[in-house]
Amino acid sequence: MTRLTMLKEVLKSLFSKPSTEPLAEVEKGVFSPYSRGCPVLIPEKCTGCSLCAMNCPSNAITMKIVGEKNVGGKTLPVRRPEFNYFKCIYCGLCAQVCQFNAIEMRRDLVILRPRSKC
Amino acid sequence: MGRSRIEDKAYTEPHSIVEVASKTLSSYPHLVSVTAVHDEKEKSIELIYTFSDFRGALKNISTRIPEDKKTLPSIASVAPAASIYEQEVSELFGVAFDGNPFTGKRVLLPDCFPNDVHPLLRNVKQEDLEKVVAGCMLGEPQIYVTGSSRYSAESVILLPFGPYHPALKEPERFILVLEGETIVDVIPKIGHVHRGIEKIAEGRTFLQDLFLVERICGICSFIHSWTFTLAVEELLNVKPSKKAEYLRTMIAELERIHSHVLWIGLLGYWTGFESMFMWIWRLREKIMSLLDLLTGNRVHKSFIAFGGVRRDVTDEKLNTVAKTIAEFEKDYKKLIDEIMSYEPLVERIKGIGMYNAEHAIRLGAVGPMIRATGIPYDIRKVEPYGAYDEIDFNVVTGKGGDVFNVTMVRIKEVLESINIIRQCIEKMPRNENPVPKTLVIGVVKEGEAVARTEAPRGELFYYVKAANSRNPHRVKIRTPTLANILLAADMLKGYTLSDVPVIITSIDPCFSCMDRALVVDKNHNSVFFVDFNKLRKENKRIR
Repeated sequence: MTRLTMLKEVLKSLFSKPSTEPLAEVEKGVFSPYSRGCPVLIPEKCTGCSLCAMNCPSNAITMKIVGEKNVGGKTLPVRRPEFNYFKCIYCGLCAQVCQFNAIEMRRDLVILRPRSKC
Repeated sequence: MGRSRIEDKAYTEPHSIVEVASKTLSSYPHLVSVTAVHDEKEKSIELIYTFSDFRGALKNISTRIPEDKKTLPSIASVAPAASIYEQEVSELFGVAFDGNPFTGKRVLLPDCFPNDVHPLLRNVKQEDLEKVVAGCMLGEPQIYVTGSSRYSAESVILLPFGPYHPALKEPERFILVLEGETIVDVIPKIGHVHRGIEKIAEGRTFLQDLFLVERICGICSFIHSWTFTLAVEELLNVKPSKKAEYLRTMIAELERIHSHVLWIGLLGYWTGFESMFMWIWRLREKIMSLLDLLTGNRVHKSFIAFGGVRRDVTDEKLNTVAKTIAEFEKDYKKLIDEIMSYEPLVERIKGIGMYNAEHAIRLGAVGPMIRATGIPYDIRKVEPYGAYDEIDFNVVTGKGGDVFNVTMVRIKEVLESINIIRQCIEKMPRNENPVPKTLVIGVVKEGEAVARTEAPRGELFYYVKAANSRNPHRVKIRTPTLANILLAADMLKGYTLSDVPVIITSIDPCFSCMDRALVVDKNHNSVFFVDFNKLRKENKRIR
């Protein structure tokens, strides 16, 4: 009986897939299908309220002045969030606190490349 | 439950604290924590001693000492568990406790840290602390040998275990006092990964802190954020929806399975049974992918929010969980049967590191360590939080403390957790939205709250004080390992050096390599370092 069980185990181990997963898929920077993904700004929707920058747990968002706008005769700076993807913990809080849905969490981007300039 | 706002504190004078504490201990035998809060306006430090009984009742005793005269008597004589909590307060706030056995030693902060800087005082700025830490150079590690005449042998050997060892995953140091091969005393030195999270938390908003406290531990990350959330929800008077409670419970139980299974694997690793380590860890992958499926992350889940959870879970995903859990249970039972019928392993862990219930209570042990002695002290049962009050489960207890019983408690708790998860999926209300409308909470009104939960390693305690601001005024965290460390040090006494890995593993911390030994010669009353080469020569000479 024990030998039979053993033989069964051996045969199962011989023909089954290895339980480890290839590292190559991780290196490609592909997100898990369930992960939150990577925050990307949709500039048209953004109003520059900086709610995302205030709430970011890892201070990965800085508000950058990208231009000027005219409101009632006054010139005011236009601010847009800039993400530091090395500081980012990919928690998706910025996308959730944004009132205008201006931050999209995308899973199809390759961002985990250490040497490239993001 | 599981959380409460502190409203009825029993005030007492600092000089009578020992008397009051010993009276309280007769009805509340478990000391949960000693919390210090600095009040810069009143120029005083408040000390809150939290006691608990084994049925879930909490009692807070508070005392105030002025900023310029920070001394009060230690309660370590009546509650030995207090010694390490008081030492923590003493190093971080500069409060001197008369009669604490650790007085004059450094347990938490590095040896090179200046004596006059007390990091958790409100007037010490975080930027200044960074400079202090950057300027402090680690010299020769100091080993405190106080009163070597305590030991009866002619000469004892001090063997530093730690902080780094290839067999261990975390740095921690135990100085073992050996007489021959038998351990007679153990001096713990913790704090090698002290990151000052309590200080950092004071400078961030409540919402940012939620992600910070999650990073305290990589294994029980969810339970930390849950406990913090419970305390803050108590301050905000917010109640999460039923579905959110069930989802939180389910994730916490999955985390308990993953933590216990990881530990059982490591037990195999440290007892020299490496195939057990690999088998068990392969099973654990199933749970990890479930956590990935439900929360989006394997380790730091970032799943919880004040007043709910951050993402909804579909019925489809719940069905996958039910299916995978059933598969896991089958494999797990089969594997555990095989492992526990392997006699060399059982013989190796049976009767090692024995302790009794009374001892465990005195030293403030929590979690599986105290349950192994037969005391059914489980916060999930005595003070139900989340959905635990609607779920039917048993508290697993053992028949007397030793490594074998602790192992059996953890093994059975995994099965109990599977049962809880199954009930969670059955009873979960399906048509509710567990995600709160807004995640941002803004200013929190003044108040103090405590929360307790049952983390995989034992009772986890949080104290949060808000003072009408966006940032917390004080966050105090008492982790289960700190509560168990005195028991671990005590369990080692009387056993041989070869049992050290197994006994220390039984609570979950680490030991490390001996690069040199320190010899205390009682006759000459001198202390000297011996390096490895000298030791080898000495060894040859004796031969």
